[in-house]
Amino acid sequence: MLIDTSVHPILADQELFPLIGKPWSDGRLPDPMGLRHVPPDPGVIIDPGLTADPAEFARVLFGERGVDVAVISPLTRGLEPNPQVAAAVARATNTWVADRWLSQIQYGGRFAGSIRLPVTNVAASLAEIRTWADDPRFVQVAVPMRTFVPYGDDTYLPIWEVVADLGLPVAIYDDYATGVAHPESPVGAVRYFAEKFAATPFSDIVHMATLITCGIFDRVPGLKVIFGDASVDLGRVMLWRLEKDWRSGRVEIPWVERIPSQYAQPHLRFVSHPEDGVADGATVSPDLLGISDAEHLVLFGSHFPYWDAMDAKTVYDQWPGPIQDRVLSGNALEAMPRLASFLKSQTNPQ
Amino acid sequence: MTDQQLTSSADRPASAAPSEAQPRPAAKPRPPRQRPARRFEVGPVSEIPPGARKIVNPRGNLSIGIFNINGSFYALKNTCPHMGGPLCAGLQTGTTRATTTPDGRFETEWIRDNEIIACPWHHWEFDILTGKTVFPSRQRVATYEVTVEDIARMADARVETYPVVVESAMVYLELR
Repeated sequence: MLIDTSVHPILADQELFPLIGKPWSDGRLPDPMGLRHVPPDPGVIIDPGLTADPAEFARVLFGERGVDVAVISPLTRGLEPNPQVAAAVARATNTWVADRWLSQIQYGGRFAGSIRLPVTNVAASLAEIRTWADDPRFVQVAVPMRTFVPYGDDTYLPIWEVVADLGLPVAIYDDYATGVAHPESPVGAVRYFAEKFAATPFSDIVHMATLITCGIFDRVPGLKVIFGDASVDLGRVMLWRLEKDWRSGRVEIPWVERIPSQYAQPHLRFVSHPEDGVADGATVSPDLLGISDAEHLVLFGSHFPYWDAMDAKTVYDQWPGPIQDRVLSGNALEAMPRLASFLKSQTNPQ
Repeated sequence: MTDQQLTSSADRPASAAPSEAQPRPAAKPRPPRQRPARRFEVGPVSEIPPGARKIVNPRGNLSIGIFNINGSFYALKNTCPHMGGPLCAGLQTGTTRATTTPDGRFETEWIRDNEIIACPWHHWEFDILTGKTVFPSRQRVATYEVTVEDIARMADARVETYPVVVESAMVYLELR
């Protein structure tokens, strides 16, 4: 079985604006592909005209690549300072996903969804969860990587408590769009796409560190967080660093009751990336898999249709079989408990 | 002043007598290997008032810190099990524990004031009473038994007509 946990249809203006309502639809939003740091391709590996066409996604993912379930999470328009706009964009995106993707029976129930949360507006985030969580086709919530306050902050605690109770993991994905733009790196804005691509995911592991040090997992034991951009190797390095410093700084954070790396298996997951050393089966010994514990922490995700999309066939073909199985489907089923019942309701695609 | 008896990781039990159930004729019964307790005089109690500590070198390179916490004496090896730092020269302090507010926020509460020693090298915190790390780990610093003995001394009374008995007390390290 092959579960692709990272599929990102692009919700373009012509579809988004009718859904977000007045007065926001009279204005403008950041371009979905961002205006700086243009990727090597116009941004996607398929025809940009087809980046929001379920039929085209189905042809590639279910037809060509043998994907059994694709968990879709459209990126939104960057960090949105206006809390009402943020709420309207999230509502429109979730409505679009439900109507245009999840409800299309011709795809045999192979698209699963993510509830986008407007995290700059906690009340609206909770409302989004209430609106969609009863629909079992939504198997996770999705939040942007760039934030005003890192995800360890108590601000988000009510969201994490609710999603953990509902069995919905939290997936963090960076928007290509540039909303309120913090510099991509702590030393300022980067210049080239290559720098952006390499440096921006470091924000993920800062979120990861704050989730641990602020004791979020100690208070919400059922919470699982999926990092869409960081890659497991980057996460592991941060865990090692935390582990060294943690004993010295423990007096500030006495609620952290376990050694930081012990939070990984119960709470942290990483979407597969070409950047993972472990992902390149041809050059990496299977022994190295153990270092990052990729066997338990990595979920396959193609990032389709973005230019760096990965095909499971070419990436994992040299991994030992049982590890391959876990990464290609087992870990996703474990991290997204709703997928199990979702799979039962699948029909053959027409 | 009462004697202070402390359980200690350094107080290993004497090696067990050979098993009676399975006698091994070839082997000589090994007598319990126990070096005689060696007592080291740390100094008078008045030299280490509550809250104070004294670092001594009872033999060779062995350095030991003796702490007076509210009138009770404790001794730790002056070597951090982490990287070998001079633990007993570190900050003698307390530590924190987490409390949770009704709305789910974490707050810190200051506890065990003066009962924690933090290594000056990397601020690893150890419980002076037990030698254990404050955080979960398998590492601990060796502890030693400390005794305090009253010594009744007849003072030389040159001025007064009657002899005066002065109560004094000495602190000893019991090394094994």
